[in-house]
Amino acid sequence: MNKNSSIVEMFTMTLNEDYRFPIPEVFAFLYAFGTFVLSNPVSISYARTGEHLAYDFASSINGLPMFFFTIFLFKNISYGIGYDLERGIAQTFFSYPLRRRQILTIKLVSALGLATALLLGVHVFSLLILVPDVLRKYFFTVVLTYVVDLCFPFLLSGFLLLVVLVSKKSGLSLAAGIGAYFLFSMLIIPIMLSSSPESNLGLKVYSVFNPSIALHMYYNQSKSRVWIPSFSEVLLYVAMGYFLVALIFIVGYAYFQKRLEL
Amino acid sequence: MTYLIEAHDLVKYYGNIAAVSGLSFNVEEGSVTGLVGPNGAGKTTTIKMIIGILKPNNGQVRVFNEDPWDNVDIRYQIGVVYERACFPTSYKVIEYLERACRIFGKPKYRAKEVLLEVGLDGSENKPIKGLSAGMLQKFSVAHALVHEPRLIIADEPTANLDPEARGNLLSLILKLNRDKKITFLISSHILFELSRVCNSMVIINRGKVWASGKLDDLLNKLETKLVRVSTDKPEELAAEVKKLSYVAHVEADVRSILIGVTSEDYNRVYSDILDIAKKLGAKITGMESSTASLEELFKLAVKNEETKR
Repeated sequence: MNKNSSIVEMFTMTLNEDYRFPIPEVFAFLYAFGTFVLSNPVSISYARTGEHLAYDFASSINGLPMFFFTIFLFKNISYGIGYDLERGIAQTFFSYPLRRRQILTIKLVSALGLATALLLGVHVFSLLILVPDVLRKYFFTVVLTYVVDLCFPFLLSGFLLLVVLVSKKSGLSLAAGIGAYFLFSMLIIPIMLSSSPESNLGLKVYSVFNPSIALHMYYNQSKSRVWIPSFSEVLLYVAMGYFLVALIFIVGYAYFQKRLEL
Repeated sequence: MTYLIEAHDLVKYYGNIAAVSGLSFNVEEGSVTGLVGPNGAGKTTTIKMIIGILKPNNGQVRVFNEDPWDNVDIRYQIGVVYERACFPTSYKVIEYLERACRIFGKPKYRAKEVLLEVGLDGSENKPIKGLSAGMLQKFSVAHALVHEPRLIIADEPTANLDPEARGNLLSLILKLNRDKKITFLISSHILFELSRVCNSMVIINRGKVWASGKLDDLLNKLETKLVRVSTDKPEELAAEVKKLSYVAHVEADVRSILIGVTSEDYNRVYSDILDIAKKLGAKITGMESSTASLEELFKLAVKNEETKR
């Protein structure tokens, strides 16, 4: 018996559930709307050149779509995984000849992978339309900006995954995820206000969880007097951020495989 | 004798509460085995450990001689029917079964075959969410059959069904066991219902096996006569009768007591009751006897245990 066909079948079934009409259409619209209408590339200082300009463009069009993207991930995890656990559908899936880790991988690739591909797909085309030269010349900077900006939503998704697995409640976990998102996003305000060049540890710690702050500080050295990280420092924060993402998902996998009881 | 399921000394705690404590039994190939017990006896917990979605705190369960926790290969040989059938509801009946066929590497036409087998032909294009409770349970059985399993484990499959649907489902189980040689483990809290289809029983209460074995052997071993004595002093009489060493069960209501005794001691009990009544000054207005069904015995045993507690 071909186990790959079982995986493919299960994957298509999961996609069918996660991306039922009109969910992907609505989010694709929100990404495009957020990119072209609500984001503010006009505010970008054209006095800036080179990779600074590339960063400004990429991070500017990322603002609102990244919020929609985070909500999309939360919805996929809390309803794609949480709802199955809550309603007992997971029990049916556990009677299929698939390993637990395979089931979770299928669920996560559908929930996170496809949502990310949708966002990046919309944004690659947006950048090609808006600033084709910048994308071509400073491809690495644009990619780095996306890698950095995606870290925080992925980290929160990992947290949400743990809440879902432990609570087995879709609504509760969605509320916990959104709560954590807003709490963490607001936290930057007191941290920034209380930081100074002599005392910026809070900002550094925050950057471990959300390395886009470190990248922002790096590309806005003239404005930022509180903390000016070097490029290698930025890369270190990105690595630490993704290490946390990996760690939280490893914990999720271990729990799903060894401890999750239905 | 081949055992498809071997449960040995299973223990499962939820917090400090033991849902199952030291449960051991086997399910023989080709049998229809009933796992019976009142609500909260530990049936679903036991079934979940057998299916591999709960891990026992202690003891061991083997299905097809393998540990069912995350063992993928044995699932080709096991079908599962849950008390509350849970499927993604956005599918039509035939669509979902065809997907299940592909997951198990079975040809697509198998979906139509199983619908015919369970009597759901004609409902192929109905959405799953539009099925009645009875039809949904039949769909669940069809889903458990797509990969032609050797063993079907069903947790309270008749719980949400009306009497007619219940009868139909049990007849289907009998037919599948007879014609396809499928082994069944079925849990229920209704012993009478299962005694219609099962040839073996595991009767559990409070997470422990109360009695187990082939149905005929169980009835012979536990054969008990019931004597109902109508009296004006049921409480006092019951208290004294309980003291007789050979009496297995005593239950009092407002105007009578029900006494359970083994067949051997049946003849002694009449004279003893009359003696006790005389001493107490109780008036006996009638005595009648019958043979206890397994169901009655079980109920008495459960009640006795609760009284002791």
